[in-house]
Amino acid sequence: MSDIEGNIQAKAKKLLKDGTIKYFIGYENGSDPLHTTPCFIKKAEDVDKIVWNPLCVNNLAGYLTHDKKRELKKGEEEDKKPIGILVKGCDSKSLVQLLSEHRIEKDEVIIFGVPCDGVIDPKKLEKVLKDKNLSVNTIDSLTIQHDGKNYTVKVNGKKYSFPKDKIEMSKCSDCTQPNPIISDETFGEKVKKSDKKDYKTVEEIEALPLAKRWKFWSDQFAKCIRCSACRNVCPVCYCKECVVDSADLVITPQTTSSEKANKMPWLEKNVDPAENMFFHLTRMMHMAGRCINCGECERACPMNIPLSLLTKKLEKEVKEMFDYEAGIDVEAKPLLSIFEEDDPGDFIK
Amino acid sequence: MENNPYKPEIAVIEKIREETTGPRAIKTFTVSFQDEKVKKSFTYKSGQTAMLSVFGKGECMICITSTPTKKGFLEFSVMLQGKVTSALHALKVGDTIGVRGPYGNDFPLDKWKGKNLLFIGGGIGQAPLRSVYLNALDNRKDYGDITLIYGARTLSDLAYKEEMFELEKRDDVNVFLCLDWKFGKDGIIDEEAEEGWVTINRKEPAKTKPRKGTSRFTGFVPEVVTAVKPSPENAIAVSCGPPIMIKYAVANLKTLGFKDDQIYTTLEMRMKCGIGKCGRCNIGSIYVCKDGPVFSMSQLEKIPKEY
Amino acid sequence: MTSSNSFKAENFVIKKEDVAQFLKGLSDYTIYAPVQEEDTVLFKVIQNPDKIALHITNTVKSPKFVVLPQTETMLKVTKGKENSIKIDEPVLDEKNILFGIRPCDARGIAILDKVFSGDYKDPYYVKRRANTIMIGLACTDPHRNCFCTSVGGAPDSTDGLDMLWTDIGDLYFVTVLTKKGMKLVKETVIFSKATSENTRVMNKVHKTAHEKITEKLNADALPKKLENLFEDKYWDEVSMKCLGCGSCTYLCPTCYCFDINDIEYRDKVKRVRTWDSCQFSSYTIHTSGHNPRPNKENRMRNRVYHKYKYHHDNYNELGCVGCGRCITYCPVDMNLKATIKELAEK
Repeated sequence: MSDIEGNIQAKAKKLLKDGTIKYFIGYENGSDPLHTTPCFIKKAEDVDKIVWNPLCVNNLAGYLTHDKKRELKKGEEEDKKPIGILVKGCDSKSLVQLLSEHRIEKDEVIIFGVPCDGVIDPKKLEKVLKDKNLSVNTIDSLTIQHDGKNYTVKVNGKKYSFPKDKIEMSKCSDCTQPNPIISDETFGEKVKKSDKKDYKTVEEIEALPLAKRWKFWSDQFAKCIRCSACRNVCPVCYCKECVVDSADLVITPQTTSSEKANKMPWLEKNVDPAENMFFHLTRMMHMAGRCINCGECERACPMNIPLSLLTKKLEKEVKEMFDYEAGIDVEAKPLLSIFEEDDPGDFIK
Repeated sequence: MENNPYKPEIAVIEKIREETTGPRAIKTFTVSFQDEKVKKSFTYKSGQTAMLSVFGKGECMICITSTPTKKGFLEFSVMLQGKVTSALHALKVGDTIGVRGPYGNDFPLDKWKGKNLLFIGGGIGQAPLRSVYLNALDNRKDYGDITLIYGARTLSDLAYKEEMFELEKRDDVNVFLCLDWKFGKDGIIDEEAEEGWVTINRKEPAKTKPRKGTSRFTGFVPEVVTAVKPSPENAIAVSCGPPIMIKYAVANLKTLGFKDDQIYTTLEMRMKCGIGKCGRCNIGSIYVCKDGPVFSMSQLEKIPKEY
Repeated sequence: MTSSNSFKAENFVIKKEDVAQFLKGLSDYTIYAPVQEEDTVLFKVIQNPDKIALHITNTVKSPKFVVLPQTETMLKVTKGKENSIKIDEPVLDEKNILFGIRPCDARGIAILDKVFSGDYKDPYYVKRRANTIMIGLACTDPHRNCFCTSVGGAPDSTDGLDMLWTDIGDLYFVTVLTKKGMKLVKETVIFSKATSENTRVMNKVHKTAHEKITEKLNADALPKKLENLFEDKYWDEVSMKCLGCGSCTYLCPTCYCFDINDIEYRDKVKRVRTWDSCQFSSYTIHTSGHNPRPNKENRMRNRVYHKYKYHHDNYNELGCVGCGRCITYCPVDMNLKATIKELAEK
């Protein structure tokens, strides 16, 4: 157990013991040695489940809005105590975004920040281990150490070294925010990472002729099964009512039948290229100036649609057009609600 | 495709009766199948439902409110609620709709022969009951006492008004109508809802003394149940209406000595297929569309409280 | 639905190099088989047998979509003059072969067979299914999340299959299980009778595969256990990390819930069936706004109850085949195996 992990556990234990927080959201060991999984710790005696290692991939910030969407049970009272949450550098940007959009307020959360030197993509790790004839079924213990350029993976007592780019999440390669922007307590030393975003993958697609680009995305979206994993995992897709769910109305007893009847079905449930493309492009448009590129949508997609290409493109456009970056400043106004006289207008013709 | 249960038959709207008006208006549609063969072969039992289509808007499951003792047509009472019901309300006499069914189980009228029947309805909940009591009245000699207790918010919210007033005149059926309390800014106003409607003794409903010759009350349905004091002896009670009404009506019935297997109700759920395949109307391992909608309280005791 | 009851299984072998020729000979059929594109292996219509990827244990999506498409037009309605309405049904006479389907996925379809027949027959499913021949491939390298042997299956299960093929080195051992399967074998001269040595190797391969699935969950205890766990706090706890997406249910070989909606064009209407998921809140919401399953804990409970109790109540078998997809592809690593274990121990 690392010092960082121990310190996180100790702090969570203290806050749970003295009743400061209702629960702590962190990571615990997952279904197999390649995965960690989000955990919700409610009792001080359970804190030793909490882990911190390079397999802690998930962005936990989105969970902060889950309680607000929950319908209370009969006789259940809302627990208004703050939630303790563990955030990496990138996750903290989501948190900042949620704070700036007032989906959560600062006093509703106690932030455990942890500087992060990159996290592992379990799919990539499984692949490189398989190349070494190591099936996950046979792994009893696995630890990962990071030494700058390489990861040392110790499997069943034997050490293997893999270069970073072979097993790291691709979002980590040009991370400019390894350290939490906001936190009540930071665990571990600050990490130095790149200060420049790399848009090479986006530029490759941009360079394609229109017909090829169209084909590329049509083929990608054709794979979509509309399971909504991308939307539901997204920390800033918190709406109670989503434009793509025409039937999923927020209805009160006062909602009139004509309001319900005239509800525009923007999107049909049909899975076909047109509807699928509409789904993804609509989602992307709603992400402009809000997406912080945490890569969760791409990671969650079972069909391996490269959604990060879209979110990165969005980030790039927003930066170039408006010199705006989401999730940096709690006080910042949302991009789409501000107007500057020198905003570029050449996209409206 | 042979025997496609998803393919509706075309039916023509022959009559539309505006039962109530307002944002939750109720209309009763009388429809008959275009195809003469279907008209003859379509049989149903009281309590069963049918899936109505307004093509382009979708389908919704509505109980058949007419009695199978009257042949050649079907009646559906539809409350304005959402997309399909709004589309139904916009239709005129002569327009066509799709009908498939009948679906679900029925009220076991055969088993109830020789028994006293008590019907407790509230609002649109009267629709499924109507098929049953009209059926029983058409086979009057098969049953003992028949008692109807039916309540609505105001007089204009009372559905099947003319029919109820006619039934009031009959001496082979006891009819008790009731209207909810009037509300003022300080809460319930203790006065008659309409002229001649007896105010229920709210503290002790059982002590309410109806004026001679009247059976119209100002009060909530469950209190009327207590005031009317139906005997549980050889009786069956059927209650349909808002969940809160059913809850208290059933509680009051039990106080009067009714047992769970003497009390019936219907459940509703979001439905799509109507034939127990699409999944969404399940409560535990039963599907309300095909195993329901009719349940006795003792059956409901055995399934998860998830409705 | 399969005619295996009256059929006595027969054993053949086919050389691996002859498989392409065998498949090319089946030109009357649309052949679905696993194909790898980048990192994703899916069942796709095969034009070129060389593209078939049989090395992956399970495709991302189960092949149930061949018999229960994610989107299908059930009816086409044409509105004419004077309220006339014409309803057309689709013609479903395409003949399909599912080649390389894993035994768990075939069992999934065998489970669906019962759901879509029964007291009301679903003619769309029944027709497609009757036109589909399933050639299974026994598992030799189970995935880390596989637990078929805990839910009544096996890496060499024959449920629902017309043939079961087993990789025995240079040959596939072919067990023909139905008349439908026999017809395909009889049409060519590529198959030869299996020798006793072939059979010995095949048995060994099956045995090895069985041994590789070491985890045995007490899933059989669940139908009884769950009788008293509906109100248990467990559901609140275990569902906290659930995102409420539908990936588990959409990838699942036994999930069959669907939605029916009308799509309106000018004077035409398509009535369309699409997959739906009990994990979505829109699945159960009433028009009034009341939702009997408002929260993710209610919805997750329903998913587990359906597979391990409700389905068992209705069909006397579990509604899960242990393919492990819901674990493998869950974005938050929800672990159904752990859930089964924890519930069985309660």
